Amino acid sequence: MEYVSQKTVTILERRLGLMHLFFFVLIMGYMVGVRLVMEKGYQAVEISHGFVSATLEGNTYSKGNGQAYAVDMPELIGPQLESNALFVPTTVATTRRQVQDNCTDPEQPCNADADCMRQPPLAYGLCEDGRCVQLGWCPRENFDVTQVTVLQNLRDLNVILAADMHFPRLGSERMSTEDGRNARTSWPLASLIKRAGVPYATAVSDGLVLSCVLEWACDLNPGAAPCVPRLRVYPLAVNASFSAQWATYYQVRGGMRAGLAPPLAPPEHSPQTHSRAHLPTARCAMVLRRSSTATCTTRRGCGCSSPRAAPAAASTSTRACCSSS
Amino acid sequence: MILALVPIAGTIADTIMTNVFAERRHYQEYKNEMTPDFSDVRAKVEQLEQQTQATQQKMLDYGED
Repeated sequence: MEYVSQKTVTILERRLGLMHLFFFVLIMGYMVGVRLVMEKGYQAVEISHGFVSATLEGNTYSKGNGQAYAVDMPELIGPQLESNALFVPTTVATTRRQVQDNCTDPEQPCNADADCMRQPPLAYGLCEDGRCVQLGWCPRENFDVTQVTVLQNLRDLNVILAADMHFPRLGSERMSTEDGRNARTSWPLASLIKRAGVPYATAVSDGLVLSCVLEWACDLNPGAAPCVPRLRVYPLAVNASFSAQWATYYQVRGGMRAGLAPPLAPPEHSPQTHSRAHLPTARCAMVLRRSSTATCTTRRGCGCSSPRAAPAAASTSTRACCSSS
Repeated sequence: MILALVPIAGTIADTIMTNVFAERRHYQEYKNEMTPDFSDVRAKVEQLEQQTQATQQKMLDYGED
């Protein structure tokens, strides 16, 4: 049996001693100054759990055919497509008074009947005026009958971000933006776009996908300052085209609207519910995109267009629009 | 992280070996070694080289005369 030990050699050399002392002080300074004092490395760190809800507040109006039309929030962001996100359209195209009928489809050009698909009872392979005839909600969306309105003053709208946060192991108290802390919950839409570093005009004209992150960096020690969240905004996609479609149904008697019959879709001015999404992190995605194809039809079958470039943060929200027709 | 505890065994053994055991002085002599002071070695070497060069120069001067 033996024991192997390290032999210690003491080298008497002034410069070697000074060099060793220099590196020793450097490392000790990093350990004590940076890791312990500045970064408070002696504290425990815990990943938080919480959720956030995003709603819109304010009034705006739209312009179309030379007329102004007041738009409130339920109409602007309804139907709610995403629970923890906001889709704010800038342009709305409305096709009114659609009925079930056989009519030509602008998206199916043809020269002869042979060019049109035959799929009874939806289509019988007929070509009229250079377009295929198909059963559906008529008239189809096109520039002749579809009214396009551009929403104005979107910069004055406020985004309300209400969030709850909880540190299960370190703190028993659930923190919220609405429990009396000096936390800010309302941000102007223009401010969020500015924080993302994107010009407002570009965002409105080309579309924009933002990721809004409420960051809670809390000191839970006794006597610490109240913990308030800090908002960080990141642009996820610029010039991102996005559209959503929904339909509203009416019963018509004698050519007049006699009443609402909303078995499939809510009426135009139903009270808007603010849904809250339970997510593991306080992250919300807000979508502001050019919605030249965002369509609100008054009498039409439901359609839900999938985004061509779905953002990562917003992809967690399913687009549950009108699954039945 | 846990592997950082392994050298503690050697530290404890060395401490007991050089401070507690009866043969601790022998262990210390083998384990610890001290070198001469190198702090002024370079200065002394340079001084010796200068002296040597001066001596050689003097010898050369005498030879020429």
